[in-house]
Amino acid sequence: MRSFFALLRLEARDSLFSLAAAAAVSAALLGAIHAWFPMRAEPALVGVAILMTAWAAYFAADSFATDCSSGRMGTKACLPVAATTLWAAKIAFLAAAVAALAAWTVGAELALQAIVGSPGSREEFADKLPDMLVGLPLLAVVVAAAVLSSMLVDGALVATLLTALAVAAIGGAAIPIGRALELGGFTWHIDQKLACAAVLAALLVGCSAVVFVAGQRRMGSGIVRVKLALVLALAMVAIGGIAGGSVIYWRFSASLSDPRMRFLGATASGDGRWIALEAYRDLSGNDDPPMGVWAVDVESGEDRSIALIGQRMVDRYAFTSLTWNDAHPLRVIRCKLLDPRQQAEILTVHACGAQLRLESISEGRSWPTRVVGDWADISTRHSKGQRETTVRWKDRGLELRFCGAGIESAPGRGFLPGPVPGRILAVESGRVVLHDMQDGSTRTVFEGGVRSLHPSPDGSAVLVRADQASVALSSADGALLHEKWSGRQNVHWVDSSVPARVVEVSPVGVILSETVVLDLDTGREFEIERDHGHGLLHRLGNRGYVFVERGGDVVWVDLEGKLVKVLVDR
Amino acid sequence: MNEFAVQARGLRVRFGRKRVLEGLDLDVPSGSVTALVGPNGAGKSTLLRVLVGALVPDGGRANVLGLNPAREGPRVRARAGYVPDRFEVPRWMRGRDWLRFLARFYPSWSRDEEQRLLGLLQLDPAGKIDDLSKGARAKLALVAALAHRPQLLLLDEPFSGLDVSAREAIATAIFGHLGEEASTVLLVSHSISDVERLADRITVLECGRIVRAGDVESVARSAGGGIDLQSALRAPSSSIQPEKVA
Repeated sequence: MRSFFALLRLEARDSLFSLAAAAAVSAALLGAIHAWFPMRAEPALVGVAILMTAWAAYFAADSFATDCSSGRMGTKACLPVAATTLWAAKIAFLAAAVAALAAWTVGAELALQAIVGSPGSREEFADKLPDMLVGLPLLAVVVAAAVLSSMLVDGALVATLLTALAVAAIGGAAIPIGRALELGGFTWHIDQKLACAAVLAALLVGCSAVVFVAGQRRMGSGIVRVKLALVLALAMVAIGGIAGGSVIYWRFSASLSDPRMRFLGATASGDGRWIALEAYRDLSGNDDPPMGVWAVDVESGEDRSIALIGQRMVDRYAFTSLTWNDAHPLRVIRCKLLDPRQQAEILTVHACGAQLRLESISEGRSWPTRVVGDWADISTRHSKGQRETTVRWKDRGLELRFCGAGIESAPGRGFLPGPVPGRILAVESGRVVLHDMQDGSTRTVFEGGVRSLHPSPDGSAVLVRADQASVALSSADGALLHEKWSGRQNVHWVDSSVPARVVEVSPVGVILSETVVLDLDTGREFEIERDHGHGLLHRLGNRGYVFVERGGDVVWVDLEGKLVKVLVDR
Repeated sequence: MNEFAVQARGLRVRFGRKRVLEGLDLDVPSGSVTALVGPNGAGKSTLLRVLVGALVPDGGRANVLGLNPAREGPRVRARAGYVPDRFEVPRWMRGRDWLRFLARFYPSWSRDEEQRLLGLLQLDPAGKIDDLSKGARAKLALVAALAHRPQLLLLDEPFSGLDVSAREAIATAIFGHLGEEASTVLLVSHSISDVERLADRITVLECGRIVRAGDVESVARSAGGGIDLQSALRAPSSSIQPEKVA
C-alpha cells in the first residue's frame, strides 16, 4: 500500500496544474452561463453536466497517453511494483480527480446560485441535481473509453479525439443492438439500459487493466497498438454489424400475425376483395417506427407484403383513402430498407380478382384528392408567416381567397370546396358558412365555437368539431345529417375507398370501449368491440368493415356488424 | 550465494517482425563485472529490460538472483539497481523529490548511502531534473540505483555522452559500490576504455545472440588480437567503435 499511495501522490502532484486550471475554467464558465442565462437553473445544470463529462474525458485520456509518450511510463516500469499497482494508482487518481472536480463544479454552481441566482433557482438546481446521477453510467462509459484510448495513442489530445470516436462508435453500435434486442422481444427499461452502460464501462476498464498488465511493457510498439486498436474496432464493427443485420432480418421477417403489430390505415379495393393494411411493429423507445404495407385477400385470408417499409398514398387534404379500382389503382410509396425516410419508388397495385399486379411508376406522382370537388383548383402562397389559399373555379375563372396563419386557410380543415361546383363550406369566426361563388352569397349553416372541419372520405359531408359538440353536415348544402353528438363522444369518419358516409362514435379517452358504427345514409348502426390502440377501422366496399377487435385479431364483419372472418389471427 | 547472479536460456524477444533476442543464453557469475558489448540493435538494452522484468520475453527463461523476472519482476527490481538508457521523470521534479519518491519503494533504501553518493558525485539534489545536464542526470540515476544497496547492478550505457569528469565520477562510484557490497554488475557500454577499466568479463552480442563470452583476456585472445581488446572486438563484424578518452 505504501507504494500505491506513493504513486497516487505522484499522480496528484503531476496533475496539480491541470486540476487547478480545470477548476478555474469550470468556475469561469459557470459564471459566464449565469451571465448569459440569468436566474435559470436548467442552463447551469447542462453546464455542470458538460463540464463534468469534459473533465472526466480529458483526465482519463491524459492518464496513460502522456506518460507513454514522454517515456515516464518506462521509468515507472522500472520501479519495484507490479503493473497492477501502477494501473490501479492511475485509475484511483482518475476516480478521485473526477469526483473532486465534480464536487468543485457543483459547489461552485451552488455558490453562484447563492450569490447571483434568483429566488428559488438554487432550490430548483439542488432539486434537479439528483436526476443527474442517472447519467453516471454513461459518464463511466466515456471515462472507460478514454482510459482505453489513452493506452493506444500518445498524447492526451489524440487520446481525447480517439475517445470521441470510440464513444461515437459505441453509440453507433448501441442503437442497432438495442433495436435488434427490442425486435427480438426484449423490452428495454431505462434502468436496464443504464445497467448495461455500467457493465460496458466495467468491461472497458477491465480490458484496460488486462491490456496494461499484459502489454504495457510494450506499449511503445506500434504494432501492438495497431493490433489492439484493430481488435477493438473489429469487435465494435462485428457487434454493430450483427445487430444491424438482425434489425434488417427482423424487418424482412415482419409478419402481420406478430402480436406487437399496430395497424393504422387501410384501403379496400372497390369490390372489397382486397384490403391494403398499414402496420408497424410497436417497440418500446422506438418513436419513429418504419411502417409497412400488406395486402390481404379477404376471401382466402392470405396476406402479401407490398412494401416492407412504405405507406399508402392517401388523400392530399384529408389523409383518407383514395379510390382503388381498375381506373385508379392503389398507390404505395415504397421506402428504402436501410433509410426509411428515403423514397425508393411508387408502386401501383392493381387488384384483378384473386391476383395482385404491382408496377413501379416514375411519373404521375401528383398527389390526388377525393374530398375536394373536381371543379376546384387550389393554390397556396406563403408570405411573412401568413398563408393565402385561393380556390379557383376552373370553368368560370371565379376565385375565393382564404387568408391566415391558422386552419382558416387550410384546405380540408378550414374550408372545403364540396361536390357542388361553386359551393364552399368554411370556418369563419367560430361559425360554418356556405359560400356560393355562383351568386357570391354567404350563409351561416352552423355556429357555436366551431374549431375545424373533417371531410368524409368522399368529400360529400363534413364533421364539424365545435367546443361542446360535433355535427355532420352535407358539404353540398350544409344540411344537418345527424343530430349533435356531445363533447364526451369521439366521432370520426370510418375510412372508405368507396362512397360512404359512416361514422364511429365512442366515449372519450377509453381505448378498449364499445364503439357504435353508424351509417348516416341508411341509418343502420351496430356496436363493435374495437381496440382503439389501432387506427384500423375501414369500410370493406359493400362487404362490411375491417377493424382490430379487443383480442387483437383483425376481423371482418358484415354491414350488420356480424363476424364474417378473422383475417389476421394474433 | 548462487554461482551465477544471472542466467538465461533460450531468451526470445520479438517486436513485430523484428527478432531482437534470438535464443540467447547468458551466464553472469556472482560478484563479477560483466560488460555487454555489441553493435547498435544487437539487443543489449532489451536484454537488461528482460532481466529486470520490465519486458516479458516471448520465449525462454531467465533467472536473476534466484528469481524469475517474468513472474517476480517487482522482487527482482527491489533487489537490483537498474540505470536505464532513458530516464524520464515529471518536469516539476527536483533531484531530491525523485530520491524521496524512490525511497518509499525500497525497504533497504539508505539515506546515509544516498548522501554519501551525492557527495561523492558532487551532485546537488535541489535542482530540477529537467534542468540538469546529461552528466548530472546520469549521476542521479546512479544514486537512485545504488542507494538501496542492490545485489545486482544493471547499467545501460551509463557513460554515454558524458565528459571525462562525469565518467570518472561515475566509475568511482561503481568501484566504491563494488568495494563495499558483494555485488554483481552487468554493464552495457560502447566505450572500450570503460569496459577495459571496469569489467572482468565480456559478453559480445550480435543480432540477438551471444557470439563470444569470457574474461577480458580470453575474449581478446580468441579473436587473435593478443590482449588488445579493441582489436579483438573489431575482428568480428562488429560495429563497435572505441571511444577516444582525452
